Amino acid sequence: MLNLRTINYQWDLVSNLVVRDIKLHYRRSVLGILWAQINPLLSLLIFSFIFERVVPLGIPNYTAYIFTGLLGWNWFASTVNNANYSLTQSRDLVRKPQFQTEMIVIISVTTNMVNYLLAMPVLFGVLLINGLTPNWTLVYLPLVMGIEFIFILGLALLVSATNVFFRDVTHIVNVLVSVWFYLTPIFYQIKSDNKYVLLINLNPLTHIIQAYRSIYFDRQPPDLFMLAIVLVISLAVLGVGWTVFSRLKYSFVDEM
Amino acid sequence: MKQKVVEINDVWKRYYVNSGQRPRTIKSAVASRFRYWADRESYWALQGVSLEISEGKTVGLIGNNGAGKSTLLRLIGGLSKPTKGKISRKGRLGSLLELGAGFSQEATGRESVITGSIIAGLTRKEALARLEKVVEFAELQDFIDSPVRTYSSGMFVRLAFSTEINLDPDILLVDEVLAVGDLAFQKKCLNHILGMKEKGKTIIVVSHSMEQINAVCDEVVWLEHGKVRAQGQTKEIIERYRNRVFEKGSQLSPAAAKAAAIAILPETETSPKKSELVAVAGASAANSTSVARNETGFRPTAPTKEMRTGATNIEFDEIQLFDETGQPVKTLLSGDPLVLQINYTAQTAVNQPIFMVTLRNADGLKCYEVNSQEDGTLVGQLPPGAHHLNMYFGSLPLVRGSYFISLGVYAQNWNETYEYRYKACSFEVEGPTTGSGIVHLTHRWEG
Repeated sequence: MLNLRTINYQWDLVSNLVVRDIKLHYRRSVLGILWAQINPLLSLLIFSFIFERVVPLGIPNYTAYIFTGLLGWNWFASTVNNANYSLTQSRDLVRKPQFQTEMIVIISVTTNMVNYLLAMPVLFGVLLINGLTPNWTLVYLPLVMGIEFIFILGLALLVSATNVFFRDVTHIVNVLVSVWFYLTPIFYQIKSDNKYVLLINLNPLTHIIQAYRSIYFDRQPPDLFMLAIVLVISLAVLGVGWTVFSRLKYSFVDEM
Repeated sequence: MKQKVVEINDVWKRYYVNSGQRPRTIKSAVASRFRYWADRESYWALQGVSLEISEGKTVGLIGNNGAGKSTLLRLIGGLSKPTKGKISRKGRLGSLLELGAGFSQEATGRESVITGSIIAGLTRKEALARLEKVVEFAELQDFIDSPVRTYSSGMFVRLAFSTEINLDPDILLVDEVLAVGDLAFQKKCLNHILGMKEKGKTIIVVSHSMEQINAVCDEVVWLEHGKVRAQGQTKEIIERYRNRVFEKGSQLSPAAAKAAAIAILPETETSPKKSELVAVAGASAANSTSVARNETGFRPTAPTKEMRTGATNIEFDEIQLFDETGQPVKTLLSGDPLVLQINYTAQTAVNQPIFMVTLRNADGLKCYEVNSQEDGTLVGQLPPGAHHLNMYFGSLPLVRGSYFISLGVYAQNWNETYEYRYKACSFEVEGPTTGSGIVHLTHRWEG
């Protein structure tokens, strides 16, 4: 009974704040929420121009290829970069007795996930133009997104909590995220004879991106065994993030 | 026997003094070989505080700045953990701390109330059900669909306050916020809190205003240097606290006494009327400007002795004190008359501004406060330009000591502060050396 109210409340809290964040983000702009579609489209155009015209990589349906990787990447990168500031920017919430601080991070991960979802119509448009009509494998999408959610949440908790104490974290994270981008096959394809293939395969995000690609691009079920491993890693990351966050959270108020 | 809703058992809280200067970067931490961890000085903000608060009681926490009141409130609110000891709490918590949390300048008033209510612990359905009541309480029916950025600071504060106060919690934490908005709104808030009290809610109030504590509290806990110095019936403890403050003052040299007295002044008082809430809403004793800050930048106003907020339609130019012969005075005899001359400039045409004058002693205790509106003094339609207003006190039968006058000028309907100066001018009163208090009453003994 009490639990039902709690669940209901948590849902209301997250949904309300996510909707608020998205609404406020696009408010007072003429194109409004269309920016959620225009933005990924613009970076898509840049990538396609460079890797199809300037330095052709020779990947078929390149626009679709890159888009299938880009949305998952954007979710990850914007959340983790944002985690640097999420607590310090929500000082009011951190200092509110009734408010659970973890929610700030959960809301940030969710908001960026919604941005992904908002860009999906454009993704499907691009897929259709390339003749890649989505099929039944879309049922795997919630699973892959769920795993990515867990992975991002764990990292974001870790980054946001440590950043309150050491502002260096901001710079370290910025560098790591840009290195990470090149370690993830978003704009390129990994070939099994490449000597860095192991490094790239050790990156959990590689498998998440490839799972998206299986679903959208190859229209085949993703590699479930690989996903299971990534899920375990993600849960471990979440465990670490959550533990660190819980231990530090009672000092946030004193530090801010 | 009523249920204990808050139990505080031998609670200690340590803060590190140099935590403001501790390395913010790993590099400097490494460079100092983490020496600061060993070197940093600590102090105990709370030292073995034990308290039990029963259901339905209204408890006031009083004490000088740094006594640990806000720290204790923060621990009760679960914002940080005691270094030693245990705190337990039962029931849904509400707080008038960090007002306006989750408000955003771009959001409308309606959205802000819903978001604020959810953040404070209501489901969306409950928030919507209470929306109308909140808006009505804030008296913002006509503006509720406008973005918050178009609100005056007074309107913002009213909305934030109404959002919190209408939550119907079991335990309410209040930090110095009963001095919010205009006088009518303050009264309304006080009545609301008294209403909650009647409904059997538990309320914990931190305040420097003995008047407020006296008006709402059943019991008072007096904290000094992180320890409970005394606790008990409101009247008795307040009396002892006040005596202690006066006693302290008389033991010191005049200058030191003044400094000590200023130190016990509420931080709130150093900021203008309408920003008072802004400056005090947070629980931090060290940081008195903790308002809900959000990415869109609702800025708190730093407390300074001289300050103006909102519209600057009227600005004070010079505020001076004269004796009856028109000579400037710094020192007067108890019972002497006094003239307060206010020279001000109206930047635009202003209709019937209200001037408010507050006389306080060195302890910050309000001796007298009056405004031109309640006196029926209509300043009238002011054209732009320089003006002056004189206020004549026929006699000031004060006990000897230092006094100061705070001066505010407000819009006709109180919803704009044109300017407020906490310490607009000060003066000394000389007089009979006997007796203490505020007013020197003429008396004689007969045997």
